[in-house]
Amino acid sequence: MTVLSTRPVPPAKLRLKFDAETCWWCRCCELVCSLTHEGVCSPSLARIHIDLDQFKAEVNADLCWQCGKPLCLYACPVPGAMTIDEATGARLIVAGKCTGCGACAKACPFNKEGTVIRFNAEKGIYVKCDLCGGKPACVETCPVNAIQTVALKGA
Amino acid sequence: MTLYGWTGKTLEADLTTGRLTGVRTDKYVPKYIGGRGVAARIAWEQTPVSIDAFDPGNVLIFMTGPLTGTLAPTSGGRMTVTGVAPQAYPKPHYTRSSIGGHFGAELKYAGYDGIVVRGAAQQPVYLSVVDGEAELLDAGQLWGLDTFAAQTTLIEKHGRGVQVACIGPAGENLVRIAVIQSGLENAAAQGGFGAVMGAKRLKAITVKGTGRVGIAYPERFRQACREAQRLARAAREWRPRPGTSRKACTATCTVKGCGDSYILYRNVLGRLRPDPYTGVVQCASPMFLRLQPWQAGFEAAQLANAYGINHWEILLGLTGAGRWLDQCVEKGLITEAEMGMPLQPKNGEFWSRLLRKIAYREGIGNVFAEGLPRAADLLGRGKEFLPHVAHGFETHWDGHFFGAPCYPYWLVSALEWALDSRDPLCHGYAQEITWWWDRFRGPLSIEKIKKAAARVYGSEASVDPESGYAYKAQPAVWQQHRLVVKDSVPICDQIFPLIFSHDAEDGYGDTGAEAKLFSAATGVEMTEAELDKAGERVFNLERAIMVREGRTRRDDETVIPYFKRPDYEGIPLDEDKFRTLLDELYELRGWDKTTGWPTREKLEELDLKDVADELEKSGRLP
Repeated sequence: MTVLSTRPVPPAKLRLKFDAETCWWCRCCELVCSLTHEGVCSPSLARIHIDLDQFKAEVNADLCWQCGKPLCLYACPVPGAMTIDEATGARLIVAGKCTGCGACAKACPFNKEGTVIRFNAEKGIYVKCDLCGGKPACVETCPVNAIQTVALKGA
Repeated sequence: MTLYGWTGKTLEADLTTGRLTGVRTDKYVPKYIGGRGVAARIAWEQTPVSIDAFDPGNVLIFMTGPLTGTLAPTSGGRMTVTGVAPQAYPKPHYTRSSIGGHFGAELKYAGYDGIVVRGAAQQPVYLSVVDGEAELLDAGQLWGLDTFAAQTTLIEKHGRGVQVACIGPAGENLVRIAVIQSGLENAAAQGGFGAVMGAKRLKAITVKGTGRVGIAYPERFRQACREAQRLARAAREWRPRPGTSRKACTATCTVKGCGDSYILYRNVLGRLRPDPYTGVVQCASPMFLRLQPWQAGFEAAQLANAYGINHWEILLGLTGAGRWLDQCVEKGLITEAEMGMPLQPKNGEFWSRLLRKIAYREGIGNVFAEGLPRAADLLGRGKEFLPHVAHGFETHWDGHFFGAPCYPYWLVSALEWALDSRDPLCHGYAQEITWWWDRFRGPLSIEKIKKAAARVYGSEASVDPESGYAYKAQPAVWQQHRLVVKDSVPICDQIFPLIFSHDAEDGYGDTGAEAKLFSAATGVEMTEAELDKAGERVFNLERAIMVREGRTRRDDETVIPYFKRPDYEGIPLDEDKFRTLLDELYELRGWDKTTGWPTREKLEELDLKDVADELEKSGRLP
């Protein structure tokens, strides 16, 4: 993988934080995410992934960390296909410009399962968490506040 | 036409021939809604009349609804399982059981609204569905495993995210109270459909999918979900016990603290197995924790899940509130010799051992495996203590075995019981009044309850504590139709309909929430009244199935002896007044009150002319 750029980018102002003990296994976050962004209910199109193992009573969430040094953005070979959201500092994939090459998805160290930066096969593009412009739908919907936004230092 | 909500496809699996076919089922919707409604239509068309539950010809139907797999609060993982039920008494008949969790949602992401299983395999098999592709696979290595081991084995094989519905040893051994289990504590339990899977040698169904449920109006649907989430609250929020945590019992449940529900315990050491248990108790099963010591009670609860035995039948039937076994022991009707162990019904280990006997049909377990009504027949003892109301099903919100509801509210339960094929879920009426009323530590005064109920049922008399036998058939009819809607869209039957609320001036919630969610998701605009009318259609279709099986008013009246026993406050049913109430119920329904059969006029009004024609051919139209 060729890293095309490591130019400094403004830090994100916030990111999502998940608390596994508080999470109560309803998976509303996945469905509200795909509903809000794609207009359908489908965990496979959600930009957050809940990995629930009931038998061990363990749960984890794969979610975007809005990295200070966003390897996804650095890896993107298409000018303007990844940008920084002015309001939140979220690392964004621009739907109209993404060519679906997948460089971002491969570069992301948290995306081993392909659940943080997802491929939307129908549209032929990759999608990722955009923090919903500052008021994430998953945070609003979670009935137990297991997902929250945290302000990032240095932002 | 693009279909929203439903996938429009059902998988048909013939286990005798091994043939798997995807069929379009959009022709059944929106007429039969989904879930319980679509299943009833398929059963009407495909299930041979009066077939035995264990006959390969019995059709076992798993059916989700348009809201399954969506964000609609509490709908997420729900589906209904139907078929001819071995638990039904005095002979098996068609009924249903609903199940939450995550399986239903995954089935839709895999591309199907439902699965229809018929025939029987020669050797144990399981059905695997991955993104529309189905195959029958050898289950030789799985046969004999308990439900936890079977699930973890299949998850290991098919990968994280696969959802499993399976049976344990109880289902394999045709125990009439065997469940279909999914996850830690979700089951299609009433009816004994686990034993139907056992008879078909179908150990499990696994589903995994990357698909989606289409939503007609995403913005509107989100708003309807938001509003339902705001209103859908428990009357009282129960706090988890120290050292435990509470989890959602089904995908997209947003209702915290509903009843004593879905409480997760980690690493509890029991008495029989060396490894500690991580598991859940919910609904009735926290009653297991009253056994001594509670850890052994917890073990019994988990072993019931592992063997795949119905908690409700054990807890409300054999022990706990049911007290059947306790009374038989006290009266000396059951001896230690025939139990094959010391009679210690307060002891957790006793129940773990008894559950094992039932699952494997060892000793006295072989008798209890028939379900308590048949067991009492076989033993020739203990009939007078049976907590079974009618149709083969045990007490459920009827005011006679676990306290509430008080008189006159259990009259509506009795009416619902009379016409149902199983225990009706009396949550909507009797339970809701009990939990919301400040007389029983709920948040609402009787004045508010009356106001809200008047809006829903048409009169304050429907809930007036002094109303006696007046105006009880009306709420029964309303609840029966709404229960069909709840099982068909589907949505949680504990919390919906939202009759009451904490915030409103008049105490009223929003009974239109289901229709709002349904319309926004499917794009099929239906008002609350139209959806309830579809509920009435399904209720009549199910009645036609029963009538075809031989049901008459006489079978409905088998509830009377049970309700004539004094309730927990000492009040018995007045038989004459109840028969008059039943007359009123049949009249409201447009049914013949002598036979209890639906009339042609009613069936045609509900666009069920073909059903009327077939009933007429068999001489069962009044």
